[in-house]
Amino acid sequence: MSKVLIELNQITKAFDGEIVVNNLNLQVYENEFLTILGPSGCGKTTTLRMIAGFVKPDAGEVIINDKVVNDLAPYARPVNTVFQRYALFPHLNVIKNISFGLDKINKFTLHKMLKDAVKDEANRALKLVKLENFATKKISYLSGGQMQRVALARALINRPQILLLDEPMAALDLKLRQDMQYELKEMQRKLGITFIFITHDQEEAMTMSDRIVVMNKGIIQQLGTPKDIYNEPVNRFVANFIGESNIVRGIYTNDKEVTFLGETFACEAYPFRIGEAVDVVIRPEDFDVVNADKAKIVAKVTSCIFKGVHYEICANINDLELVIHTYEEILVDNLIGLNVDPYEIHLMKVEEDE
Amino acid sequence: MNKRFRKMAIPYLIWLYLLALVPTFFMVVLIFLDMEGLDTDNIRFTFDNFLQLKEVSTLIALLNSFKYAFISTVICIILGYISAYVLYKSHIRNKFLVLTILILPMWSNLLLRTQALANIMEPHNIITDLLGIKVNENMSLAGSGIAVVIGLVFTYLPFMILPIYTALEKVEPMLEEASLDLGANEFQTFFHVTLPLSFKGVVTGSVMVFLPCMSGFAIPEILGKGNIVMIGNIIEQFFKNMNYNIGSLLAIVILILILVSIAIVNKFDREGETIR
Amino acid sequence: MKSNSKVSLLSGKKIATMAEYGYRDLTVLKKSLRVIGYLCVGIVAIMLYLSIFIIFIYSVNSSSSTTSFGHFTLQWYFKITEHRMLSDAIFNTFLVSICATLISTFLGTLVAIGLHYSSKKFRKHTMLLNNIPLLNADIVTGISLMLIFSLLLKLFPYVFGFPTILVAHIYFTLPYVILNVLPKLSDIDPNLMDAALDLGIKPSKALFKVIFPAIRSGILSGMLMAFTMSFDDFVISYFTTGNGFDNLSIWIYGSIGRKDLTPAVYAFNSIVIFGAMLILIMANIISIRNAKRKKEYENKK
Repeated sequence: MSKVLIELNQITKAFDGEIVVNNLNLQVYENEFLTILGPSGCGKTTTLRMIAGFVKPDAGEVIINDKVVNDLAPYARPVNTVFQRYALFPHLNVIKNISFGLDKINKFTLHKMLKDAVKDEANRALKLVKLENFATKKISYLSGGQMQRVALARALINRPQILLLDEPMAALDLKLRQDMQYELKEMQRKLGITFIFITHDQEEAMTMSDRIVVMNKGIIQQLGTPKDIYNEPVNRFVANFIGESNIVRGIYTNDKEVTFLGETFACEAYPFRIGEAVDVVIRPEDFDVVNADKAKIVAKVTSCIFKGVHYEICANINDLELVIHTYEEILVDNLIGLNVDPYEIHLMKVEEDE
Repeated sequence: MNKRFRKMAIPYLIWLYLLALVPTFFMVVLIFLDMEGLDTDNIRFTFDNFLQLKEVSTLIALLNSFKYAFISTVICIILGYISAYVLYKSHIRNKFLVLTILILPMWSNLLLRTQALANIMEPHNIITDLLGIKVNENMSLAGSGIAVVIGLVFTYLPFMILPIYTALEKVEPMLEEASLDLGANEFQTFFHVTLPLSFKGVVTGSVMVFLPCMSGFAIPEILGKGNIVMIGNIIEQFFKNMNYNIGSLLAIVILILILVSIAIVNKFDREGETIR
Repeated sequence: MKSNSKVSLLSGKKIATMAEYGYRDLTVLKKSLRVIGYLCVGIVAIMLYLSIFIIFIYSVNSSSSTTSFGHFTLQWYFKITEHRMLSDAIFNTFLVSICATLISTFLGTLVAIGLHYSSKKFRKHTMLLNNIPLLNADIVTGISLMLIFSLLLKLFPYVFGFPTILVAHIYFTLPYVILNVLPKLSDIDPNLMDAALDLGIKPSKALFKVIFPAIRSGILSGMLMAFTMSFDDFVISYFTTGNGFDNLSIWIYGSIGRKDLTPAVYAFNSIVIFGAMLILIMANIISIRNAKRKKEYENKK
């Protein structure tokens, strides 16, 4: 990968004695689309606010462009933010909102810019987000999607090196959200800006990111490409948070061999000791449903729900419930056989606290 | 079914018409009449009452009212905004405590407070006695315009702080962060985001200070010691002397000023957020 | 640009300064402005409490002079009841305030409920008029009410006094109750009332069982405001009273004019302030404790 742009070095932050971010280390590269994914209260927003400069870390350093910026005011950082509920200025119209950054920089600082240039720049930003006809509209007359575009244009006008997006899609409906995901990704590619995107929606994270950081309880659980995180979750939390999964306890009985649900299956090689207990992860869509006599695992169907593209089947085996996705409907109380290919079986280390 | 409850509001509307609107029309009628008290024996129709508006004493009183109310309001805006802002930023997120501190003095009788202020403006007062200082007789503020302004500011300052504090509380901290994020420093953020967004609190507060300052008569009487006559004093005098006609005329003048002020507040604060 | 850039001990990287990014360091300016701000708050605090402090000193001054301090005494606190005129005025003030507060709280709540279920047009119209007692100058309100009451003189020659002052106080305290209750009503789930009626409860009973508990905090704050306004009123009472019915403010105004204010009134005023302070501090403690309990409950969940 290319140059490191942001580095979070052993960052810790607590509010009222409650640790929100715990000894966090993270490197963000130039031109990367990085997503911080996690449930609410996992510390992702606090991490973002420390990069933007609204919150000072209790310990550790925020490093941007190889310089420690802990004491640098938010307005001096080469970072701009798209806020969760957009935070548009209600007393200004669309174009005034967008050119806010340039107007303010103009007055006090070294970057001098002509009025016409500001106008041109604002219009260009407006065009970028496809809101040319809305320049003089009041903020209160805009829809959620339009407000989001204004917030985006406003943040981009200062040409930041880094754009922070704090759950910008949370308030949009599904269809709009999907369109916006695509547009954002395109924009990031075109502008060559580093995006740090925060969300609790794993699908959104999968679609857009180059890399994903999964956070929980102020700690990074896993860092990797969307594919890695989906296929090789490192622990129960990640496996459960990213997509649906069946997790059953098993034993690594031999090299490339694992036993669970009372049967032995072939799997890929893992660095476990022979005889070590492991967690076995199988995604619902990775089961092959066959006749009951043609498989090692036989389960009884307890429910079958049509989900549009597929059916979601719940099946019981030894009081354990498995979730399976198939394209065919299977009636309740039928017995089904389940096969799994060796490369679809993912093994995880058993966590101590369980 | 819930419509049954509607009936409970209708008497109130009638009550308001009876006690708020009818007397106003009654006063308007009185302006054009000449009589003694409300005695209907020697009643006559006249425009002479309007001549009172040309009297020097009335004009001086009006001018005084405007002058002292305006100066007091400006002082209240400056002190009130700064202290409301400091309170808002002080992370005392306990609004109840702030309200308590501001409202508590109102439980003390207005006239007693004013009299106490009047007493300590004298060159010899309880504080100089307790501290054993001697003050030059000429330094006295008693009976001066400054004394009246001090009395008005001390009394009505809470009415300025409360709406400004309420307006500031409604400014989302996220907007200030957005401004800082976009490259504006703390001062630019204050003047371009916080101040414009809390301005309606200033407008509401100004009206709530300006109107009672202008129309009151107790404070100028006690602190001005008869040297400072304001429009409220003149109205009180006319009503005391049973001249309801000219008294009504001057009261209507105040009413018009109030209506103008309410229109101004409405322009800035459509939702009525900052009035209580 | 400064060249003496510091180096971080943790990572060995340079520490960024504001100047490098083209910004002035405003720390000193911000600090001095903060001092000015705190100074301003201090001045305001003195402004609000100076007169109360002076009144307290008068109340413990053995001398009845307002210019010299004799020695500390509590005698005036015991003389409040001895002074006939003063104790009458205090009694009248409480009588009017308590009656007016109770009546306007009860009626105001009913009116607010009625308004809540009224058509939008009717509500808007009424709320517009509801602002008149709130925003009108006291002197105009006082005169208006006096003129209306004067019309009754022919029928009831002795109407001025307690009846008129009470009606006047109800008139200007009602809007406070309504404005405090109405927002609480719109917070109630609109289905709540329907659900109650659906379960077969009579509307009048539903009012007491369902609506009143839900708007209790609004009623209480409205009541507190109404009492505060009524208790401290001077101008409106001054114009609407008569036949020797004086409340405290009117009596004080007269005494100031005659220059014979007894220190007992300062003692009474100090008692009121201490009482109010005690009540408000207690309310504050209770609300903090409730908030804490609520937080603990949520944490447990």
